[in-house]
Amino acid sequence: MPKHILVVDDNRYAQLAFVYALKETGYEVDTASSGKEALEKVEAKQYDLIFLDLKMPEMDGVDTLRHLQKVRPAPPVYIVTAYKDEFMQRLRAAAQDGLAFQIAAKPLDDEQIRAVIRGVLEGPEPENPGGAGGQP
Amino acid sequence: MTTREPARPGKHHLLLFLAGTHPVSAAIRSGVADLCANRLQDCELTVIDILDDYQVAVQHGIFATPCLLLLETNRRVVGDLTNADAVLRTLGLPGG
Repeated sequence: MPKHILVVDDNRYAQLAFVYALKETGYEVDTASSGKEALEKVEAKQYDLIFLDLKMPEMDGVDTLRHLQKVRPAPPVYIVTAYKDEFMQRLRAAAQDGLAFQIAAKPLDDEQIRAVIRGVLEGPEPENPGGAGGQP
Repeated sequence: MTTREPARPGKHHLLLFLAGTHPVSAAIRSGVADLCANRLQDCELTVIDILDDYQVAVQHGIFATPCLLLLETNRRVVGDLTNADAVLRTLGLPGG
């Protein structure tokens, strides 16, 4: 059974970065352009992993995550964000509210996208020094 | 920023990068602390919550959490850290 990944970002190029990075990997990738669209997709399908852009209009990543964590079973979520004080402040507040998430730094290149996804869904890859287990 | 004692030959310095203190992070932290205490002879673990200190993550090129970094070799494991044998193997440490 292929693993299902949802990428939520209002920037089409950011969505496509995941789509291209995961081509021919066997993972199935869906995209959503807003928090609202993401919630609709999650209602219709169970995802193994979700990447959520922090900075989106209307419903941002944290607001979307607040809704996503009511879904059972709650899918693991990566918040994708640049390392900046204002964003970390927002995420600290979200964590203090009890929201569970991991962080992926923006922008991610192809190899980093594959490394994170394989690392989460398949575990460490000792045979692949360029992958999740290897040196950067 | 983290401060560490000078490197000692044979000692393993592990940096664990997490995001927040929710139960998932707490479980990862506990698992890695157990690995450090019980699977390695001389191990020092430093835990960094990147929500509090992301500069250390930038400094070490950490692009995602959770991530365990072996400072001596710069080898790292991203994602699932629950399988101690696989983690040790990936980091090139004995016992993996």
